[in-house]
Amino acid sequence: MGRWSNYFLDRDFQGFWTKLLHKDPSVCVVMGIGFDPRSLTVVDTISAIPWSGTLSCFTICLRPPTSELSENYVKLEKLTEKNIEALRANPRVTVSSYDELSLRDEEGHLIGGRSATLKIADNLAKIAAHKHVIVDISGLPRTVFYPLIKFLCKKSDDGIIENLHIAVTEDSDLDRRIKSGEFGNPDYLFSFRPDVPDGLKLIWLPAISSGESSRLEKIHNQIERDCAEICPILPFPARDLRRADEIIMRLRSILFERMLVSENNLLLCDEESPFDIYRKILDVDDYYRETLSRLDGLSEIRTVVSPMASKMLSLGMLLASIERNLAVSYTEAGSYEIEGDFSDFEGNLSPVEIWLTGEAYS
Amino acid sequence: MPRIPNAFNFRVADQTVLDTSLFLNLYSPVYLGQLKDEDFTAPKLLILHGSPGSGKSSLLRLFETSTLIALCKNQARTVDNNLLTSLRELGVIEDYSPKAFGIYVHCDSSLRDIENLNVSGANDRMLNTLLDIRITSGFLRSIEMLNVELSSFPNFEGMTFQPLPDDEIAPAIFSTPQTFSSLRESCRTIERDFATFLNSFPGEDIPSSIKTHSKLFSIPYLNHICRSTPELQGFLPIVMLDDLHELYKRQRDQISEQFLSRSAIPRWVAVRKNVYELERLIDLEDANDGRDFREMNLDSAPTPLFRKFVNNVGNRRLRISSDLQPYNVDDFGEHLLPATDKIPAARIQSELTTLCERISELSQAEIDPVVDPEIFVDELVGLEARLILLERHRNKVQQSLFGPSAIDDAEFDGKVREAARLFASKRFRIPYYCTFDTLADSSTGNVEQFLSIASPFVDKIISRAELNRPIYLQAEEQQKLIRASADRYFELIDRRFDRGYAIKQLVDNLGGFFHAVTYRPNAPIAPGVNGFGFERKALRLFLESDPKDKNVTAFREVLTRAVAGNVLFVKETKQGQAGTERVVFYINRLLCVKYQLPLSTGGWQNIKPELLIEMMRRPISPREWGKRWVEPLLGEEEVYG
Repeated sequence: MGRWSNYFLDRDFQGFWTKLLHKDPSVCVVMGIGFDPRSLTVVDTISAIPWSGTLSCFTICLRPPTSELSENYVKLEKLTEKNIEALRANPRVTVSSYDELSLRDEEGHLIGGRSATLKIADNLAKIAAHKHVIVDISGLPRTVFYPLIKFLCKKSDDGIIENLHIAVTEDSDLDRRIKSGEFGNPDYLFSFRPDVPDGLKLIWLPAISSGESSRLEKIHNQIERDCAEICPILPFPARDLRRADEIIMRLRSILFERMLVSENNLLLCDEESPFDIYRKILDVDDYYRETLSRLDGLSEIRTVVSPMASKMLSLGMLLASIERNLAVSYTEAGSYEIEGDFSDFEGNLSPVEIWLTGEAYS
Repeated sequence: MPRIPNAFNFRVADQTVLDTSLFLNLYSPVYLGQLKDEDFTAPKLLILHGSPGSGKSSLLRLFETSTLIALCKNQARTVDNNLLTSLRELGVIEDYSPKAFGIYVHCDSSLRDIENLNVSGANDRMLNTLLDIRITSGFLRSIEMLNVELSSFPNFEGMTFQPLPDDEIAPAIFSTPQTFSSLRESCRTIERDFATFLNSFPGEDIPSSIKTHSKLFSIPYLNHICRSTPELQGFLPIVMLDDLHELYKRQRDQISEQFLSRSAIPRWVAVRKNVYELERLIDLEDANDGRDFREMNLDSAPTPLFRKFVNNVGNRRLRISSDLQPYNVDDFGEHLLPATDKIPAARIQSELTTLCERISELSQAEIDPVVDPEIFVDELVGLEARLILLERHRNKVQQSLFGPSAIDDAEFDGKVREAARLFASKRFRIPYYCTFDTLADSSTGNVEQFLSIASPFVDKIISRAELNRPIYLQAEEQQKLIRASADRYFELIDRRFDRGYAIKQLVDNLGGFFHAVTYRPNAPIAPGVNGFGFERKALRLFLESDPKDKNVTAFREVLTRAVAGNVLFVKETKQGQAGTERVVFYINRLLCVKYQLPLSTGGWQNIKPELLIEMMRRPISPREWGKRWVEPLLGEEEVYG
């Protein structure tokens, strides 16, 4: 029985917060702001609710790397600036700072997660002064929101944060228009390193999507030395019911010929709920710990996950990783190329509310 | 052994997913000959350089204890006696037991992340600690394995290790007497605590088991216990550090400095050659004489040796590919047919007429019409060569008063002939990229790239075999497959590499430029151009002009990343006075296929850094290449593209 076996998820984000804000008007949003138009959806939705207070925001500003040469850089920079201006212009929102965050250091290694956590840790007292803390992951990369949520979850368990919520806005059409590239070397995310010494065999659970062959291959190269079993996770049911088939068709060569994945190892998880994948990862972890521990030389194994699919599935993976101390291997995109300038983006998306810790579970 | 339909899909041989016996079947010992006796006996550091996929990790895996044990246990029925013989000659295996064994330490992100810990400046000492523990753990694991599998150390659990002498101010773990078990337990505790500490959030304490080490003590400690422990005498551990480039520069310098200290324990370090920033890259001349290390460059194998190596690699994989086992396919090269030496004249009539008319025009002589139904390819190449030379004569400033001068036979040199072959291939649609040697050459000296190009060839051979068709590939099929690989390689550049968009843009601009220069009618730089270069001094001045300038930074990063990813590779010309030598960057040979360029290295052009920066930024039209190239192109547009 996992920690989130009984969970709280509400797809009527506005309705949920309308009720809650009238009762407890003390809310703070930790969010990322970059070129993605979804960055502001949660803040806009909450500030549109008629309530007496103001909304506090701790923003992490994600700009494209300044040494970028291409014209795409100018486009991304303009969009980021536009989002920041829009947030500044929102009279219902108080923003503590617009601190910029570099995802990589000068030598190209991922440091975004550690830096973001440090930043939030420095402001913890201010954040924890609010009764409800929402982490809006819509505009945050996985390398940042994974350690951030783990940190805040820990602080919630320590009684420092009262209620921790996650908000996520998904839009597969928008995702299709953002092409990520320039993947760096894969790495374990900050605070998600294997907690046992090297050399132990591992079970790898990558959540995959169709355009991810190079990322999949890169991460596989990183961990293959110790990989005993691979269980790819596919989105099913999904909004497009053929998505899982399409992914298998596209990645069949790498999955079945390079990585020698057994067809029986494919794991199907509901794309729309983080708790289905969460539950299945716990089951797989239990299963392999129990069965492999009976074999000679495999008395101890570790499970490694890689979130390369939607934010919702990534969130479920994160919850399982927090609960079981699973390692997370990932490679972040170094740059994004976008189709158009999102001027046709209508912004009428509805975020999903996930209440992670606090009163709902007491 | 698992069933593997096409073994070429295993891009690297060091995957653990391949069990050790399969690894041994796939490992080609051709490069083993580059190791010398002194790499095991002399106290010098051995640095293995190479691009990704060049075989560094595979070489290290061969010396891992588990691999050597498997080799010793199976030696009576091993598939490759050459491998055993080579290892015996190096003194690694004696009788039925490994005498030298590798302790493999991967420079992973745990070691790197120590640099980011907030530990009041003790980061370098903590790096020493974790590295010491990993080396010592690896040694103990090897001892355990040797005993379990070969009974080399009966009663190893009770083995006692003397502490380091007092003159070494060593940490407690190495300065107190230890038994095998107590040392193993200490290492395990420290490793676990390190893992926990690296995952900790700000404000959490350093676990008490972690003591910082002022320097690396594990190497003198291993040396000491191998001498003072009777059971260990005669055994030689080799400390093998893989992927040193994964660490921060400061950490690499720290480790390199300590590994350079002479020791009786061999230290091998594998690193991507071009992890260095551009400034260091251009300083990398043959300056290692008299230094305490030896470099082994896995990228610089001469072409014949590399061809032999990949032929061996290919044939081993063919034997392992289960889908081909019923068909007795032994030699990959034999299944790749060369282009035919004759083609039907009717198929090329129009192109041939154009060629002959141009020759007649320039030579003021009639060319006999072709009457045979088939024409030899060599004949076409001869005509192209003649045209190239006539075009060169035409371009000479001072023309003869008595009509065109005759072409001297000496002018028909190998380079002109090769350019003519390239021109003929394009004009008459004759396959140019075919045969095993071309496949090997297009791999840019990189075994992983070879496997990736060869894999679709093997898929095709398998499908032909299953359809009961002859299992060889015609030259046209080979060219189609190799071009598809080239397109795929190009398409993935932006996803695979940091700075990938700029690298891809640069490559595309360079490809167009090289193509235009190569196919100029007089083939000015025969057989073609596929590289660009700078004077070393000029490059250094440019990089130092304003190191903080956005363009200079981008220029440095894009070139460095492209070289590190093997999209570009560097050669240096030795001509000229000191400082005027050129550093030449060649594009990956597979990209030469995409832009129909020759695969040999040699032809290159000076390109100014400013133009290169523009090439990284946006598509550059031929008119922007500079006066030297724009003027000849006026009226030659039909050649470009």
